[in-house]
Amino acid sequence: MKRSIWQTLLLWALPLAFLLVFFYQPLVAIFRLVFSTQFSQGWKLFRWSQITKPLGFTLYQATLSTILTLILGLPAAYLFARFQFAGRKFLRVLITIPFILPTVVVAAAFNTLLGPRGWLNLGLMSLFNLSSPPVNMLNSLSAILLAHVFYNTSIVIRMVGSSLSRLNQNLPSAAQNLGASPWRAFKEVTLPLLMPSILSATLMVFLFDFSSFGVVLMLGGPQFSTLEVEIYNQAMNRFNLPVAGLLSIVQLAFTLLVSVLINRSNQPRYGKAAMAFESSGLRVAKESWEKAFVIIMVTVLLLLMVTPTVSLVTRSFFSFEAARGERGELNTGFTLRYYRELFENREKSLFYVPPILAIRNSMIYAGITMLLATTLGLISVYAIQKSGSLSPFLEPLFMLPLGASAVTLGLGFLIVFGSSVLTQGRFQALIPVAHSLVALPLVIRTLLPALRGIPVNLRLVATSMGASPSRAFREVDLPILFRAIVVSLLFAFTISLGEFGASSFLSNTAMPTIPVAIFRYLSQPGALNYGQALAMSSLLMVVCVAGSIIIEQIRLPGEEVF
Amino acid sequence: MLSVRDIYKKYEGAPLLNGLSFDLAQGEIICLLGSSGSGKSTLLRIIAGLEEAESGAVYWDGVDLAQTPAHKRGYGLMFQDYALFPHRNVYDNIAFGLRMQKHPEADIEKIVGERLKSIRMENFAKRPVTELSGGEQQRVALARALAPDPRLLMLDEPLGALDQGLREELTQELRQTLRDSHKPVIYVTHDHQEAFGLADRLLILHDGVIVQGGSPQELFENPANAWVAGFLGLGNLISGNDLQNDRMLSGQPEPSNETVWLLRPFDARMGDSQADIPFNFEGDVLDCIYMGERYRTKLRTPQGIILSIETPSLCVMGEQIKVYWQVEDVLCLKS
Repeated sequence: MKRSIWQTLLLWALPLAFLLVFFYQPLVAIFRLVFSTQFSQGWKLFRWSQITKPLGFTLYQATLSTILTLILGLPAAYLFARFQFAGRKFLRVLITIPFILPTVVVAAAFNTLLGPRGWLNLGLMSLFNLSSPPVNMLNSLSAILLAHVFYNTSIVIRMVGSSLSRLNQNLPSAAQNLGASPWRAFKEVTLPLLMPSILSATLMVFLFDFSSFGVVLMLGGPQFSTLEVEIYNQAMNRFNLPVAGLLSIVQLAFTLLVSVLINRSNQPRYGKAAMAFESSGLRVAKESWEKAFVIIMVTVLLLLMVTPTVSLVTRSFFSFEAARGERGELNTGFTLRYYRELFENREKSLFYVPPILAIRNSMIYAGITMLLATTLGLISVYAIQKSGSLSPFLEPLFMLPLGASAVTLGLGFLIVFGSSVLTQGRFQALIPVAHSLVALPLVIRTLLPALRGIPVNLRLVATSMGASPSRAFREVDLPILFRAIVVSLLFAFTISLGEFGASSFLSNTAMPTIPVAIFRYLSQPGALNYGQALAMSSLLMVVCVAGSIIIEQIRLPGEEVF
Repeated sequence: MLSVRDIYKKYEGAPLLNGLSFDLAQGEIICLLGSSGSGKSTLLRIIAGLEEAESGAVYWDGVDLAQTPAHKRGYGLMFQDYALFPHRNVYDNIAFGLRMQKHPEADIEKIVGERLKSIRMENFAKRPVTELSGGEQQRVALARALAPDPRLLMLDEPLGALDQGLREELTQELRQTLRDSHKPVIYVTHDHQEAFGLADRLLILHDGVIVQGGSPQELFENPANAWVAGFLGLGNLISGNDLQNDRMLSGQPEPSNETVWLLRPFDARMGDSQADIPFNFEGDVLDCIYMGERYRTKLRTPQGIILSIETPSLCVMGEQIKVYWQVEDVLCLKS
């Protein structure tokens, strides 16, 4: 008995120490900095408008984005839950892609569609012989909203769509049989039963829109600041850490509030009573309104959810202007040049950093993150499982980093480790640590159900046949956990590759990660920078999509992390 | 009253209902019997207007209902899974149909009160339906279907989801409720015992059509074909080929692949008939179960035919016994 308690404590020690040093310490440091500065300066350090303005805009754009996402997502959920049409499965896969894309890729994709050098403007310019781009969609609220809709519609489709397709069809039928018109049956029965999942999806979308960073920074331009962007600006451009810290606290408070609401809305309310044994069948559109609905929805989804990524990839293969320093060599049309340039260190290229260096950096960070997060995750899930009845209280300790934004994490690191001798000049070494913190909750959510699924008897049988504990782990746990471990590794790897918020704080100018490099290339003039950004974005997208496809293939049913 | 004509409906490419027709008279309770997957529920949904047939029509007092949507038909349907609204309590479930008919709230209260009383659940009005037992759910579903005073009541396997003991208890109660309602009823089930106990008339659904209709007694005495006899569990079905061909019967069709003999267990007589008939059997006792008063015994003949017979006394397993059926007790059926 005594021994097992010590074992459990030992298991807890490593992940807890990691979280204490790298998550709770930076968090406490932010609080301490903010409050000590406030006291010493008599609450005069900041003007309220510095807080209320970004908060107001954050709430405003998040509300608008959420409403627009629902306007597209709810009918789309209905489309996929009810109708059979050509290419349905393929479209279903295509529209889930945006959700897994890193923010920089989304920004780059919208840039190639709507930006001054994007397809829309190129097309209009050649069509009407214009000399300058006619449409200016970037750096506007609409660009932010569009990107948010692009990002989050699949959440609504998945959450509401799955409830809708599992809803017992006899319930609305019973209502009609009792005298309710189809519309009345929808209003009185279907809608109230869908409400919990609509509410969850709405809160989830709101949370993502609320804490959006990369998209707003890159597509909104300087005049739009959400809390996240303002934290970044205050910290990185004005070096005003206390205000940045205060903004972080506000951000954290809102995030936690919404997370609590999401958790409560996820409680099953009617349980199995509203669910059918199997999902209801799909039907082919017959009536004219049904046909029109299907055609319109598919068109809108293709336009909004698929064209940006297609546009990104195609644009990365086309050159329309001469690169700087290559005067006279104006070759318009298909080219592989942007991809070849990834491997060359051109002096004209920004900061003299060849893209391949960013790729190398990211690969190293992602590799470390993958191992660090999965190892910590494995230890943590065993610790959680060993704690028995205490585990419901201990589990949230590991889940909390999910609530803190990457930008807050970056800020905390800056405060705690920014001046420390240990990290002098090697600040970027903290990048995999930050990425691991972001990935850890997801890794735990992947591993925990798999571990809980192992019958205790199997381990007992193994030990009774003479296997030592470590042998039992190798012979029983490891093979069963294998899939979950591979999924965790991939999760951590892709999260690290695409992570932008924390990296933007931590990466050294000379040692950028892929997303940081893309961000820099995109915000600089010059066709080559632009092309390199697109080539890298396309590659990053391919890696992320491939990663998530493999995850989907090998993960067991019922293990969805989100 | 209700006339169903030439209903044709496909399911996943194959015909499910294949030109099905029947009529229902005022106050009549008919049982639609068929194995699972035979399209019974689909037929009810078509009559209720919840699903469309590919062809055929449903008439009420001679009027074609093709243009009448489900919510205007006034037919009560009790679903197999009851389909109680999980977000409404017992009272609101029963009141739903009355509210759709825009009854004043005071009337609704009175009618729902009566319904709750008739199912002996007066104290359950405010209960969430998700907290009810299977039997209670069944009662509430029936009360909900009856509350708006439908002109026709349809029940889809109303006892199907309950366990055996409860089924028997509720069959009695259901019979009483249906008789008292004086409404025409279509009762769907796959259990012939249940159907025999409830129906004025039975309709047997097979291969998308009504293969036979009639009172329980008619069906019992004269099943239309071997499938019906087998489905109703009327007794041993012995293919003509399995009988000894050299002993023919005058006036009976020649035993062949086309004919099947129905040998009822309780008509079996012990011993040797001495007469020159093909219904003499000799076999080993495989099994003997006490059924109360009599024993249900299984025999295997040397030809491999398995026979089920009723015997007055216990037979020892492995024992060899002889049985026969008299010619007048045997029924020759089309296979």
